[in-house]
Amino acid sequence: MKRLSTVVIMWLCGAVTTTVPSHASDPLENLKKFSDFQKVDVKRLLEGEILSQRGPLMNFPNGISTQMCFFVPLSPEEVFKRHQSWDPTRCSSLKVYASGGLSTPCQPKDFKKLHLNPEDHPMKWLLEKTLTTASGKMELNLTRSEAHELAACVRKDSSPDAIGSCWARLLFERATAFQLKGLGGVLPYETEGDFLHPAVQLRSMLQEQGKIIQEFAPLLQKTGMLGHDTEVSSLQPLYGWSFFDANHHATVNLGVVYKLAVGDHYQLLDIDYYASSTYYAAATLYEVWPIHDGKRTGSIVWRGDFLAAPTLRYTKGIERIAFGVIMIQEIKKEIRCFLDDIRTRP
Amino acid sequence: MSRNFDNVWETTSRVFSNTFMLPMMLVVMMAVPTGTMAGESLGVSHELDVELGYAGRGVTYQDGRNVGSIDELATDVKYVISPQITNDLLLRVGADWQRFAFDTSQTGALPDRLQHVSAVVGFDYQLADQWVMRTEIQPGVYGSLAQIGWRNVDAPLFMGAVYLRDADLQWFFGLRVDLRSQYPVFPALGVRWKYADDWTLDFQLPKPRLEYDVNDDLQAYLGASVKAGTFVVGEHFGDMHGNPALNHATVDYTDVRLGPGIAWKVLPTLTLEAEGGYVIYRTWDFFDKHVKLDSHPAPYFQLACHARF
Repeated sequence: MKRLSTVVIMWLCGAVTTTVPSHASDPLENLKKFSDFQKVDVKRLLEGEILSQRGPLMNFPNGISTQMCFFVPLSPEEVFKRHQSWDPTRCSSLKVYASGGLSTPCQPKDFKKLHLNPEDHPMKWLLEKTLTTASGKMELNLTRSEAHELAACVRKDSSPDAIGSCWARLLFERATAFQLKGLGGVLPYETEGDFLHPAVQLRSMLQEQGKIIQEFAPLLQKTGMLGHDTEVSSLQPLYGWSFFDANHHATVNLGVVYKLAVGDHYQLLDIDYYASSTYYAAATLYEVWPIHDGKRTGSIVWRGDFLAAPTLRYTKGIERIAFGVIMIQEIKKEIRCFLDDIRTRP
Repeated sequence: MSRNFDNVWETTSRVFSNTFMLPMMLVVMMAVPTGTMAGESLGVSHELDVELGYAGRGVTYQDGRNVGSIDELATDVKYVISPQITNDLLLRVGADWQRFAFDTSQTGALPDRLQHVSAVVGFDYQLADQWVMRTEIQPGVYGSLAQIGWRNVDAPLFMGAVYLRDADLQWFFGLRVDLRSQYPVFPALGVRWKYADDWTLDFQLPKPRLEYDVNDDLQAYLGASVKAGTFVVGEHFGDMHGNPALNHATVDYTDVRLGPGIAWKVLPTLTLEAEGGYVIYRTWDFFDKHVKLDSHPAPYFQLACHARF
């Protein structure tokens, strides 16, 4: 599952959830209704295959989407419990340096694991870009005001540890704003005179997914994803952050996970509402159903990923197809890490 | 979510810098109703590649006999428009003009220029989860454009498939088919491997390279470049060069260049390249007439512009 969610989702088991009237559901019938998987061979899923589908072109030029479907040999509740104990930093192929949940209200100490090591090339890149920001260039996802604050902070002390603290401060302020105002508290990125709003990017992508919006309507409405920025979610959110290597660039992000129980299954929305670079924002929707097949029981998981990134605007034709193919491979890598963890640590 | 797939744009634009298609498949694709074509601007992509290079004088021999020093001006302009037909299929239609102009020798059987003007017709297709292919055919006139006839018409076929293992490793399989060439079928295997944060081994014909990322916009590389083509010379070429057997003869031209270069991403959609080095191998092979000319190494300099929009 999603890098952020791998850590944050672990609190889901104990989280307060909103429940809609209970009813048993057939995951395969449900999948047909809203997903790109019209024919699902359960046998293949049970054997461990991860089904994947690259999404069609969006009208939103910075967006791309994929869908996945896979089997987890645990009940939906146990899936969440496993996430409680799963640390993505243990899976080296995911290249996650650090991640964690955030308190409510957020505390500066929540980011104590954020350390920048200049010996690590991707982290060195972030250090250099931070120093570039201090010299007035806007190459990271920041507001002008944040860039000035970061520059002032770095001028006091430009050691890697100090720069890490500057970033922790910035993340703390963004996370606090989100906790108070939801998507309405998310500041835009200012690049060369343009204002890019992560919330707008997320909504633009999701609004093109008619069937998916219909399937996840209660969850999306309760989280303010379909409404206005001022709406604060009525669901209990779980906040988190992570620090990882994205395309050989160290990137910090902030995210939130919402969970909604729908009868015998669950729906989740995992949003990256801030990313320091490489991409603008991302949303992952999950639907998790219990499944019984002979002696085997477990969960069928559908996930849809929606990513907004600056380079996508210029990625067309075969390059865009390849982008989607590799995006799927990277997400599969993440799913396999989680499934391996279940197998190796029963 | 993993976000480690951002360098795909660069990867794939390099991967498919030289490929093509089967006529039968084209007919099938042209039959697809236009209503299925993606209507947004993202559904149509454009590629424009312009290259201009000069190679200095290299002592040239014809079957062991010195026929003088030859220099060369090479030009290549290629434009392709690629509309998306379905989620997995892209059509490719365009044109290509390639020209080699030589400072000819009076004593050797050297054409003063070899060039082709061709259409580009092909498709890109996602074959399977991790496999993407391109097929492209370039029907056109190959040889002296002063005398255009059926003998000059050729249609080399290029096919390529890529196995996208992940963001840092891709394997390439290619095939060039040109029935007029001495080697009608030429297979190729390549790999693109970003083995370190700054270093990429991009070993793909015709331009294998070892690349170093200086920063996000600037790349330095050490690379080779193979320029090759099969052409038909004019009907009086042999008469003018003292060997009537070479009238309307077929010649395989090949040159191999080696040298460092830089690539500067001026805009997200535009990359400029400059490189220099040596043409380490250059040959004109009238293979079916058993006449062959080759040159000693000579320095070269080349500028290129690649636009994707």
